[in-house]
Amino acid sequence: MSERRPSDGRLGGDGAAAPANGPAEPTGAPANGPAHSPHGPSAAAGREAWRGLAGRMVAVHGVRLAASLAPLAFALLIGGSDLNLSVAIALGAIFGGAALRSGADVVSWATTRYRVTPERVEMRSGLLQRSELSIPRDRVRTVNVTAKPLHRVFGLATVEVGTGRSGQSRLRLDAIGAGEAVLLRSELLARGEAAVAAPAGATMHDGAVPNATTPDAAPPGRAVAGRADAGEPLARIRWRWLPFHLLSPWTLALPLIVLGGALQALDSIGADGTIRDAASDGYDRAQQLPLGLTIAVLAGFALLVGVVAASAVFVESWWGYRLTREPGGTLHVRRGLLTSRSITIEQRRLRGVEVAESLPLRAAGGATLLAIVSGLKASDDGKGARVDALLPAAPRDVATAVAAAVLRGANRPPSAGTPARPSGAADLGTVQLLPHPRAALRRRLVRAAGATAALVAAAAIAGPIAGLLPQWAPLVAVALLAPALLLGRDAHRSLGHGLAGRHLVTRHGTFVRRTYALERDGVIGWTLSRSPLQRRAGLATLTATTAAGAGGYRIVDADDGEAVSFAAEAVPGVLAPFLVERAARGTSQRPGRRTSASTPATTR
Amino acid sequence: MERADDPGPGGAGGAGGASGAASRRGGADGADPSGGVALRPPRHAVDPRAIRWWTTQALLTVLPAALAVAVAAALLDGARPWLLALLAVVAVGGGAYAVVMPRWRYRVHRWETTEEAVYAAAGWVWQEWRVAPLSRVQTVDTVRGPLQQLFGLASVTVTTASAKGEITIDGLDHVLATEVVDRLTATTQAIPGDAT
Repeated sequence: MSERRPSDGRLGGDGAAAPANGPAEPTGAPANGPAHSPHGPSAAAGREAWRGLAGRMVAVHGVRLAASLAPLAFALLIGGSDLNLSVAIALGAIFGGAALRSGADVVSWATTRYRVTPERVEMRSGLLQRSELSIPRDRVRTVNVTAKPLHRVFGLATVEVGTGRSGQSRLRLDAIGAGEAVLLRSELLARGEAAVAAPAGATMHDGAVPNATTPDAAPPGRAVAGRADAGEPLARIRWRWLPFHLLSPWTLALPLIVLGGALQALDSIGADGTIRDAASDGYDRAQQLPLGLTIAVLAGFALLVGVVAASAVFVESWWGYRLTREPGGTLHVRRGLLTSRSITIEQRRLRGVEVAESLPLRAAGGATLLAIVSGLKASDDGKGARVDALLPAAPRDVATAVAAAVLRGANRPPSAGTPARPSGAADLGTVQLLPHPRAALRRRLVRAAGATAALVAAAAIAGPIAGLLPQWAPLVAVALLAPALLLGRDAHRSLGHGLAGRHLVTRHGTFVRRTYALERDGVIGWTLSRSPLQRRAGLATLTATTAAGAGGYRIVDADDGEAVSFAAEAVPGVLAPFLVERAARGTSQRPGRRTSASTPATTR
Repeated sequence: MERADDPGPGGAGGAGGASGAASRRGGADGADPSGGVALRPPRHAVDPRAIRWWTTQALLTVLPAALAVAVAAALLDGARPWLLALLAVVAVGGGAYAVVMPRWRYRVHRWETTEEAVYAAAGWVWQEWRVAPLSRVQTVDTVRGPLQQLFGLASVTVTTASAKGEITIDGLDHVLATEVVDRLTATTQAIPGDAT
């Protein structure tokens, strides 16, 4: 929780109390946190002085300004002296805009002050429009340190302190010294580890668990010397895993992206005419070659570009990858070549793991491993790897072994109101899952046949009308029936769920088979949904809702009755008030009819 | 106060309602490999006025569509037979929807709150039964759209820390809805923890 409060005062002009208390207590603080002792007036705050951002940021802004003006200089060089008035005005506007932006950046840099008091992290910035941001330290969920290449040149790093709730309550320091950033992160994390050690501590509240996304400021080796390297190693990069990474759709998509980018770049410097000439020239030449050869050459070239580009992405994303468990129990993922990145996942925030196997990856015996964490959005890091990725694509054995190691360490105090939980963690390599009923198989086969029929119909009807498809297109579609049925059967084989120690395990999917191990304590509700066909077949889809990851994890097309028993066993207590003895089977399936037995509750 | 407005045959809440409800709930057609338990529907139906509310909602979507087709049929001579056929389809389909959907919904939509949990059933063709323990509830509030105000109804929305765990109880009498919210708020505030 935090609040951003614009104030029109001058620096420190908020009145005498402001520097001491910072912005007022968050007004929207939930009532469930233990009382936050109101930090004393100036006494506590005096210990921590306000600090400014690094002076070297001026150089970064200077370089950025120069870089943004480079195209301008280029145009001037090419255009020479024959500039007409409108071009000069346009260039002037661009120059002015860039200068204004830089000026604003510099003002924001010059006026930003931050400090860390025993209770809060605070930042104030702005010259005319002053803003203040104050985050109670026990609400800090993420400490995110990014170091872009330019920042790294000047030994700088950007620190973002987040509360894990809304995007507005992020405290962003752009930028401070890399060493200072690491210290700041450690300072905030150390508090989190203390909270794990003493969850009932007087000042440690429910939120005192940083779960930091922290790209290291310096090369991985020395960035977090001592502290992080003391951890227990769980996994590190093996370059022989590269082929698994290449089995992703990115390998096919990247050539198109590279081609599109190159065309756009050429177009923007006015070379589009040349491109068109080259393309028609190439087309003419290709006409003289056999069609098969042309296709093979183009496909081979695209594949080559894809493999090279995907390998480059792999190296950039996963260079120096190491997964360690730090002494406090925190998981620490470090990786990245140019932008080094480290993700710190507090064990108390870890609710489980996901093993994902895309069809090609599964065929090759590989898998990827993702963390299910509360407060960490499952977003892309912009380079094809997800922030919650614990491993690059790797052999399935490795993924399940690492998953087991990660889950074994995940311990958190039982939540309020939950009974003592079973011990032991799921091992996704050996866990036995209950297969789903044959009715689920029928559904999948019917779907596969239906999809094929739709395709045949589309080819038979639309093909001749549009004149695009040859006469034999429907036959090809018919030939897809067998693979479609095989996929349907595979989809049914993928289905399964079970309990393994502290975890609930569910699996589904055929194009991407996903196996989830979700902490039973982390389940905060159940949804049982039934379509008309599911009701007829006695099936239901059960969703375990959780605060972490995607928010809900499904057990698809399980037996209706068995799903309820499973939910009741997985998380005792939640469903208990609503359970009844199962009567002899054969009565009506439709919940709508059941209601007839009970009188509608009219208004009191 | 929960018990006071409980007209169901099961009497007091909790598992005590088992005997009354057991006979209503049959097993699935398929196998029943484990556990002799089943989920009973929530105890209370929603307010009967909800049928009129849902009917109004259905008409508000169907009528403009039918009107648009009718206007087009009046204006466009060439396509008139087609448009009249379309109008017939829209009128019959929309009419059936406006008649069937609210009554079906009324039979499916049910709700219940206990000291430990909120439980609600919703949907008509596709049906969903949702349970959230009160220890994991984050916010409870009522929503009253203009139509609901017209019929003296309100919806109660209960959110948890999960992005997919929201429970909505539609079509409650608005006074009852306020009472439910007050009761849930009081209960959830008494439970410590951060509801994750």
